[in-house]
Amino acid sequence: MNVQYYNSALALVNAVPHVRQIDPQFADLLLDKSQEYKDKIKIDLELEKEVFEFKKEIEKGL
Amino acid sequence: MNLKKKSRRVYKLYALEITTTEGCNFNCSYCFEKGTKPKVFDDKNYDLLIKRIHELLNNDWFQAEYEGLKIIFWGGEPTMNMSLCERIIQEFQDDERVCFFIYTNGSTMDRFIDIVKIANDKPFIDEESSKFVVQVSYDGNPINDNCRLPRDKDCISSTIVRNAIELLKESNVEFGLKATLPWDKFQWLPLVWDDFYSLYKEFGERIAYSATVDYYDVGFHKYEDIVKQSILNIARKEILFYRQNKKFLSNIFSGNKAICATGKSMATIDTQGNISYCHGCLYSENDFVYTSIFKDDFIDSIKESHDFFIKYEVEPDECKSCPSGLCLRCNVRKHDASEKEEFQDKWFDYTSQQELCEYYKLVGKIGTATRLILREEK
Repeated sequence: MNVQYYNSALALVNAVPHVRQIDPQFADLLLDKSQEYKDKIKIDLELEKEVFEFKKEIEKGL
Repeated sequence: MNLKKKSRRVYKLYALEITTTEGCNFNCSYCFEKGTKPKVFDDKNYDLLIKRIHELLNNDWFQAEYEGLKIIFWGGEPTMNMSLCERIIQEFQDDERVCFFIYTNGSTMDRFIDIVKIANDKPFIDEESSKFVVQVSYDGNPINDNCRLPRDKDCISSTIVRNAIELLKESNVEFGLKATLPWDKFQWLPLVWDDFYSLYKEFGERIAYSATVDYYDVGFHKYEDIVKQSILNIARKEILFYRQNKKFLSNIFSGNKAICATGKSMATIDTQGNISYCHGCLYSENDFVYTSIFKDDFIDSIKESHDFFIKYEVEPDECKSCPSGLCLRCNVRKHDASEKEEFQDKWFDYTSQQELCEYYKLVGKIGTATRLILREEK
């Protein structure tokens, strides 16, 4: 399933520069949707841990 | 989200880059064109070049495959050969299938703007897109004025850029800024972001920080700690910006792993009239010239290139599961760094620059963490 989510996300991302020229708001929606698909890609636990560490580090300075 | 809310037709354009000159009135510290004796497109070949562009536009294969042509001016600083820019623009501006794009340092905008304005008011098949788009190189300060040095010592490049974008804004011409981010200047990234934020407040939505790292001479390992701290710093700034504007100011955390159009729907003509896949080819140690404007069958070669890249375009499995969001993939550089044998395998060897992959992965992970924080706030 990872590949389908990845390909769908990539297809939307590739459309964004074209759409942004005439409809920036919709381009943002496409990016959000693309991100949703990317978020569904199962990441490995090690990666998840790294992301969580970065999240903590960013929040510390906010 | 309703994806059916709006839909619009995306026109299929072929991108033709024309190198008007290799000369430049700037002497940027990171420029990879340094040390070469600059050549200028010979004015005795102007007529032939224009004839070839007409032939392309009127060619049956081209018309069946593409709806229009984007003419891109590349340099050096392309407006240093203003006469060729002007000649081409005047020749094709009334053709509604043609639009224009220029890479510029902005230094000649006071003279160039009138040419741009006239062309910009002409019809273009894609009525919702601009006929003319100008991309001004600006790195953000303090990087910009330390690295982008005009040869005229009395000028400051950030002042030049400011004047150029004021002119473009007044003239209602679409423009964007494009920044180079040298590895040894990453410590300045937060200040650069602040500079772009100031411009955003002054010039509005057209301002975004779109940065490219040096993907020829990758220095991620050398500056890894500084890079990481700077990106984390930017993440905090982007979160604050996102809360107010519902978007990021920079492209650093954007999701863009687009496959380049090089060779497929794009070609570059150099100052000698040679044609290769894209302007990246001009700086390679390898020779990617496949035809020239002096050959009557040049369109057959362009078609062959188009068909070849469509046939072999691939996305490696490693990229499909990669945590990076933004990944600017230059096929020429991938080819040159690849240890594979066949041309097409080298060209699409997106993992041939592992150090660059590591950088994009780091940014991707920090970007994911940033979006997690924003999502939790919703």
